[in-house]
Amino acid sequence: MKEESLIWVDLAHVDEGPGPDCMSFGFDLDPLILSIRRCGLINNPLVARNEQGRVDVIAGYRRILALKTLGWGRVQCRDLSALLPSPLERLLFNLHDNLPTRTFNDVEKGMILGRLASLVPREALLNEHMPLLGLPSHEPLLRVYLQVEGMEEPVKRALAEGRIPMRTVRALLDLDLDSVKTLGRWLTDIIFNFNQQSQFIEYVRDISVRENREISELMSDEGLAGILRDPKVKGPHKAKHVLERLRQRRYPRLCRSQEAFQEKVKRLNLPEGVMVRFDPYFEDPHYHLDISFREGKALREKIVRLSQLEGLGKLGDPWPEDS
Amino acid sequence: MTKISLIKRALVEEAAEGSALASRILERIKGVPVFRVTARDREQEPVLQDMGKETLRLVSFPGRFLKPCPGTRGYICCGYQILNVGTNCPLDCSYCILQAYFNQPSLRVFVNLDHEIAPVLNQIDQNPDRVFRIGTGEFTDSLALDPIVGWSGMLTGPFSTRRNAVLEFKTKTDRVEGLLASKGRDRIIVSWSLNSPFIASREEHGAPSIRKRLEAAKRCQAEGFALGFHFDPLIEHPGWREEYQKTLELLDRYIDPGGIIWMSLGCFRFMPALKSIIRRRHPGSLVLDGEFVPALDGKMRYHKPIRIDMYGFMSEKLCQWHEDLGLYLCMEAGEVWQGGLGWTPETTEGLSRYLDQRVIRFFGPL
Repeated sequence: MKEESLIWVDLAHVDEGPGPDCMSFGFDLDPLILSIRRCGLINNPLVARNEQGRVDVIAGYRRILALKTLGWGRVQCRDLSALLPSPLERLLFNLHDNLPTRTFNDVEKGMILGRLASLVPREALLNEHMPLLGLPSHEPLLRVYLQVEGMEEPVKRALAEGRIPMRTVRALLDLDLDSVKTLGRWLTDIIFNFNQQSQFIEYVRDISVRENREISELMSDEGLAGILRDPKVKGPHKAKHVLERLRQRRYPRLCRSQEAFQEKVKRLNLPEGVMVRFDPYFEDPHYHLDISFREGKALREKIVRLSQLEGLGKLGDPWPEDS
Repeated sequence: MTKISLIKRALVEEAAEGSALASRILERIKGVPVFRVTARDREQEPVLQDMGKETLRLVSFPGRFLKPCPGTRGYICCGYQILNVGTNCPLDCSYCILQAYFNQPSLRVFVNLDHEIAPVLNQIDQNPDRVFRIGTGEFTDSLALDPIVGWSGMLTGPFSTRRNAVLEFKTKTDRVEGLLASKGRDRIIVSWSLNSPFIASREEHGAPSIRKRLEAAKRCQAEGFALGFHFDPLIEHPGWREEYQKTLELLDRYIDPGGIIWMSLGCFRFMPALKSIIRRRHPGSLVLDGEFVPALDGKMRYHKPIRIDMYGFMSEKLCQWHEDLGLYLCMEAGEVWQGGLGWTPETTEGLSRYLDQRVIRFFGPL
């Protein structure tokens, strides 16, 4: 029977990356470093030799990184080369070692599916492994996950930390690499909420197609880049400014209609507590009047004042003059 | 456009086997590999990432063949009836809604039509006071597959003898040989979807040029068919006025406007889900460039003054050409009718009455 053995591994010979069998990304190493410093290494990492004779980590990648940080030169590991001869067995060993104890983030799910993709048939990925990771068995979604690992580091970090959802990543993936890099930078530099992220990507893509300009070139326009650099505009305000600027550019006539209507209403000088509501897209043909009041007497006064307002009879669609 | 020779295979579903129409179709595409599809095969079919336009699929359609056009809520519709003879189309227009139906790929022909047409005709006969405006061109092009299916030969006869129905063949093609060879003329309308030559060449992949479509229309008019035209979708693009004017000039050159029963105008609108499909399947398309806003029915439409402007331009030019074209708008709001055409039918019933009257004026009383 094949058995595992204990071997000493020189940490300088172990890669910093997770290698072919591990799937950790975006984790906080500090608690593990503290634990090892206080209690020592409780469980030995598991390793196996690859075809080149080098040692790959099968389980314990974070422990190896922590030990390196602590300055350990070598560590005793359990060598599973004989027990797990094939790459698939090693990968599945790690997967099932992790599955019961922790939740994978989306980058890790992408790493797992990406590694499995070269080792198992597509159907197995869809029907066995995606459900195992809590994902629906869905080909387009699989294609998205398979591209995650190749994305830029800051975008992956934002995804792993939940600052960017998968739907944002999905919206980026059919763009060229340069555009993904540009948008990735904006998405990590500016605090957009999830809906704003989608809106941002859609505006930029639409404008880029319509103006036939590369996204990187478009986003370096002074008007936009200036907002990014402006130290006086902070946090979510920056996101709002960027989106408003893009909206004006994407929907110039709609924006003009909205401004023109609001200007018309403003010029009416409505009594306090009276407000005109309108569909921002003007598809609803009706405008609505809100009057807030505490007593009928106040309501009567407001209605009388309204009926005497000059210009009320001309309030209506803000086109054609403003379209 | 897809020629018959570009159909690379035919699939015959179990329930369609033995149908007379299926046999006739298979005879016409002799040489194309034919495969039998069982219910189990259907369950195991992978979801295609494209529309399978090179596969002809012969199907026995279990649903109703005649259905009212679903229209759209919040807008005025025309009260049209759809004769559902098949789905999908060999053309590949960038704006086509059928792209969103990937779960039903391939060119589907409902081969039980020759049996199921009887209840449809019966329904028409049971309602002698009602005008049935019926068309086959909603879920497929009416004539693109006519050389192999023979819809025109099957349908013109029964419809041309009924006083209270008209049948409209709506197409972007020039495949009118079947129609011209058929005997029916009365109450048969052949209509073309038109656009600017720029949009036709850039966005209507595989469709003949506007000139070719109008040459085919001219032949049909000369042979006694009533004509219809549909500028739908109107698409805002650089120089759109000049571009649409070119089509109007071609219309004037080829067509006698007195023989046009109706013309519709409809600005491009789409379900939001179609946007990503168009971006993926037609990355160079400009149909999404306009200022689209969410409309009352959930679709995206051009901002209202843009629609009014486009309808106003087209209506003015068309009325200069001929004042009685039966012009109407497809799925539009009352205020857009008023702004663009200068009048409104107010409701779907109002528009239905207007079009029914056109039928009576053209083809005589019920």
